[in-house]
Amino acid sequence: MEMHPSEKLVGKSVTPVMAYDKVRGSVEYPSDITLPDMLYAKILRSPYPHAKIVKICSEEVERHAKVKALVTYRDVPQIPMGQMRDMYVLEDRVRFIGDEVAAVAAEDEDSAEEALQLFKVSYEPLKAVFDPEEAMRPDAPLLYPDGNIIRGSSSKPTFVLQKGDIESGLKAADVVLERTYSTQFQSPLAMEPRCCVANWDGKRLEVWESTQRPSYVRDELARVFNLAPDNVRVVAKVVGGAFGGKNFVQRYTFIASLLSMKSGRPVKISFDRREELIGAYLRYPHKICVKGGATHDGRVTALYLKLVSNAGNAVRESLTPISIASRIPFVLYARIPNIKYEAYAAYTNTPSGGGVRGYGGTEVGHVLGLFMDELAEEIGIDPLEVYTVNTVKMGDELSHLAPRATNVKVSSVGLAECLTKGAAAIGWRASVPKSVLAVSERRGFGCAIGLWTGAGGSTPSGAQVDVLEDGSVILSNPVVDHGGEQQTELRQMVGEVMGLPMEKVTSIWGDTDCCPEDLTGVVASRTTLVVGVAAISASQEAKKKLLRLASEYLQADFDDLGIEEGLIRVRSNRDLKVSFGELAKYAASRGESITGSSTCQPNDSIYSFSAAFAEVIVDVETGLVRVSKIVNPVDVGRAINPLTLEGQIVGAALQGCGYALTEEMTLDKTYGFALNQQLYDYKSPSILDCPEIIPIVVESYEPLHPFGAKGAAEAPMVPVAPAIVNAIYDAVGVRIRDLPATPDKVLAGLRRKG
Amino acid sequence: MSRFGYVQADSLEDAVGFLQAYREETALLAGGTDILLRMKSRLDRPKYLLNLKDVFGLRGIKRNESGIEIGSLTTISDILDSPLVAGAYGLLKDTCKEIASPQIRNVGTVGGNLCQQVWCPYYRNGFLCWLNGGKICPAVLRGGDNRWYQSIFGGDRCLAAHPSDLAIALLALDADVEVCGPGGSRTLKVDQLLPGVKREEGRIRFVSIRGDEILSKITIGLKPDRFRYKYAKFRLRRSWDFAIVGIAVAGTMENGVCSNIRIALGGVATKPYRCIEAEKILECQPPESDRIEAAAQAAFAKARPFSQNQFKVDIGRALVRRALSALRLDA
Amino acid sequence: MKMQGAQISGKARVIGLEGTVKIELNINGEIYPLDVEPRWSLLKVLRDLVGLKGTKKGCDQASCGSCTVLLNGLPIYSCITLALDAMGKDIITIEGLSQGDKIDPIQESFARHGAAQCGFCTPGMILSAKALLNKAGRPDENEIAEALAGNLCRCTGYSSIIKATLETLHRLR
Repeated sequence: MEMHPSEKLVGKSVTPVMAYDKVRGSVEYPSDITLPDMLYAKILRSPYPHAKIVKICSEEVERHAKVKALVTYRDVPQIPMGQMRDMYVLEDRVRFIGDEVAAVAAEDEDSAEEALQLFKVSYEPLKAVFDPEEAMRPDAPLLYPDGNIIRGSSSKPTFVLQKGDIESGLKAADVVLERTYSTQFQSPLAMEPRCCVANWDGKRLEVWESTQRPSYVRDELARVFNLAPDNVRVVAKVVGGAFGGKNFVQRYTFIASLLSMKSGRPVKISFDRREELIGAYLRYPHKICVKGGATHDGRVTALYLKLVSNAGNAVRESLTPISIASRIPFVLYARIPNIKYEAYAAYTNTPSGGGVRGYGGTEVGHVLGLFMDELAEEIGIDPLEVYTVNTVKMGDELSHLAPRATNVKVSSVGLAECLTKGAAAIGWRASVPKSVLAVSERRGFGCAIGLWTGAGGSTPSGAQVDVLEDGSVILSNPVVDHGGEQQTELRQMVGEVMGLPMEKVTSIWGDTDCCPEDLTGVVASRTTLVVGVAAISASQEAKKKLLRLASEYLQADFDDLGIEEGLIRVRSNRDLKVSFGELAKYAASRGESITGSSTCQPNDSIYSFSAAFAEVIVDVETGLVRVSKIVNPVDVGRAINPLTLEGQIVGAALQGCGYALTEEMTLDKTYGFALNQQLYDYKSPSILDCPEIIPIVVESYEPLHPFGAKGAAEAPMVPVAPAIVNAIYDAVGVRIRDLPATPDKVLAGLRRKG
Repeated sequence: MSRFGYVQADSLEDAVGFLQAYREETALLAGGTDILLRMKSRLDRPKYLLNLKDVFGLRGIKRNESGIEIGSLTTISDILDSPLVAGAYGLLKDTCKEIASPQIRNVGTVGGNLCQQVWCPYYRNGFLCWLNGGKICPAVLRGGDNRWYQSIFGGDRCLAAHPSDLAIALLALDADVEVCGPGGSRTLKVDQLLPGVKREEGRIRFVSIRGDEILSKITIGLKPDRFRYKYAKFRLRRSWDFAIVGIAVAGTMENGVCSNIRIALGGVATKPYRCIEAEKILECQPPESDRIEAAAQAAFAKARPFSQNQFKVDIGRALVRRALSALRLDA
Repeated sequence: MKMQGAQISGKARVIGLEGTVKIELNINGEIYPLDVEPRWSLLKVLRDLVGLKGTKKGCDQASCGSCTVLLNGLPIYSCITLALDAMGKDIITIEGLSQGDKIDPIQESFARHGAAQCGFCTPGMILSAKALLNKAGRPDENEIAEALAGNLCRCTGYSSIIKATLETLHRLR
């Protein structure tokens, strides 16, 4: 692996390249797009949790002067969509309060809203089920003909992964613990409610959408509408936040496209905040039973997790979080010899579950973070010892990839450094002077560890580098900017390889017409490594071409050439030089271009590790938990841009605080009504709720990245909530096993303690 | 939002005159932080929206020899910025600091804060409940969620807690509320203004103001030099959120004894709740810890929480204890 | 500001029951003549009629702050401000803070501190910070946080936003 002691760009806190546009308010988000003759569409949504649509009468809608098109289930292609193929664009069946029923496009938003009221729909209500365990019972109302347990049955889990033998592992234990935990629906809560604009011109479909996966959306649109993929274009340049929540195809894209096809005009659908909260998907809620055993020295001999997960009304994102959450036990705790992970995902008549930041790892990481803390206490040792003994080390084989791949070893592990640095920063088990507390306040400290993919996903990413006649270099890549400002670090990497300053590196991105393919999308913390490596390889290829051309042009030996600041000089005769721009012109005169392109595969052996140390203050009279400090060390391989990296860590940590203490989408269980539909009811932390968050960057130098970096957007979040909940226990002796840890639960726990 | 006619009135007389003719179809617009949200959700679809912001004389703060007068269109920020809101009236500043968010405080008004409707999510999201034309309160059914927004002191049909922060502060200050109608003006106390939601003439009424009346001003009399107060708001987040439990306590501390003590709770009942029994325990007594503890218990003796909001009793007792102890410390 | 309109009862005037109302709005120092329906929010008018898209619609429910603009110097939520109620007032949107290539010091600070990640909350956040800095005094970190308490951010965890505002304060004072 190359180290560059004289690095000019990599490792520097370069001002993010889109920053000036963002502070001016001049970035165009999908919701800002206005096309000539554009129509505005709104979606009619079901008031019933489960019903057949008997009849939709749209006569009055059609008579509305400003209405130009409408769609019902009768108008849609009979091609199922979604990862589970469990959705059609519209159906004659609704499966949760808020499900799509029909849609109308009108000249303006007010008219579209008025026209919605004119639909007359007769429903035949069906029995509904809101709890996944109830949905798993044989007498439960069915949402789909194949049953409510996705790809499984009551005796066959949706997903199972095991190694070793649990029973013998438990027998070998000195201490066995069994606990049940639950986690809640959490909204990704991007600040931008999603929007798409679809424009069908008779031959081509162009869509601007708040999506993390333009390539995938393009392919799905082509498949469902039976179009050649070249005749579909999806554009997503800057999106106002995603956190995994804009990561798949949603019905509204297809509805807008269909309305455009019917009306012959561009159609825009902007979700309102209610739709954004319940009409896409929320982090999968789970009930997780954990049974584990350990010896007196803290070695875990067996670990068994059984999940029951609420998939909701349809798999509107993917089922993958259910399966790859197993990486927490299998990779993070790779030294546990006997592990069984089984998950049952069940359909219910509620909003959909799906993958949100940490993608299953956050939920399972939370639960194991609590379990290991309880186990450590049962044994009588510091949880840090449990983490040290049972977690993966360099050279360990990743057994969860067998039999598909064997002898795969984890590529870089910086967990030990995370633990030592984090413990030192918080003063773990140290007696240091602390602030004075009120009579009813108790201070507590908790810790947890985490991990998530550093180069995740399932398909490759591509990148292309071109040298232009003005001497600048342009990087074409598939990365949508939904807050990570990855264009900045990608340009830093390209500039570093090409020996150019930032001003001479530009990029184009987020347009399936002109950017390389990426079916996985900007997810799974993959961009820094997967797209980064592709960009670096593309740059190296372009650089080779530059040097070859220069060697011709300057009549010098290839090995005698050096690059600096956009010039190629002959080392033995420094007066002989040529600029990138001149070479590009020279190439053009020969009908050539100076270009490099490459792809990179995601990599299942690359993980980013993290820890969190939390200090909380609990008021025993009111149950209020205040987080005073979070120390969040993260092994990122290498910080390409410390400024944007720390921003990601701090942002992720605050989302972990919200997950731990205040955020939830509550369901009324009588009627299946999602209660937190107004944003003031969904408790995302305000600036006044923010603790002191101390990010610590740990660099383990990932060998598969030329600059040592791996993804870091998700790993920071995973250990934060369990650290907080463990700290509550340290403060007041109450184990909160159901998220979020709201005051009522703390008080109930205190009352039970007596 | 449905279309409406925007009504301009320059004087209270003109505004009242309009209401006399069109009370059934008119909603009032002050800061808009409540009515406009209800209209966006289609909960209210008035034909007319009567703007009170240009009505002469409704916004402003005056001190005189009998106390302080605050016009109903005075904004929350006006109160926070006014040097006239000082001394005993400082309770209003402590309360206003915790209302909503800065942007809402910049336009929200005193009148609007008192007259705001409940924020229970069943109601606000158009789910069928007693307020919306249904028969029951779904929050207290077995599958319902009554943790945050429901009363712990029971209620009639609608069980949502009254959300106004200013109401409890004004109750603690024994404020007078002036309401103007066609026949002139009348004065109410806060508990008369806010008796809990009722259904009258086919309409839901959150305040005892008739359809052709407008709340015009608040008056608070002079308070003794030794007047002390405390406000506290318990909520999950420190911005935007309504009180899960709120408390305003005020009284005179003289010669080691409390007098005219008033304890008002918000977020716990369908109207701002005076803890009369607790007040009796402290009235004309030295506020020693065991007396304060007895008051904290007595304040909730009549509590009948629902399945999930028992914890509000614990929080309430803590807030009463702390507010009364703070009063004692200030003495 | 007073408008002509049909008089119905006493001297109260109803406008805009049908059709639109002709108004003028003073936005970033320029006067815009507009035809608006009474139900249109200032947010909608700014974005859809005037074409100033920098002000964002994050919730339309007075609960996020992405729609914040300054009205006579005060930060307000344009989503719950009727366009009619913005007449006769000075409206400043994010576009008003920059002139050509020149941007406001607070914008420069936000950019350099990475205080804009997805950028959607940024215009509203900057305007709330700007309003604070326009007032005299030296607010500390707590007072900055109090002033920004009505602006929700999901990306940054707020730390870079406070740093950027503090740095601007030090540069200005």
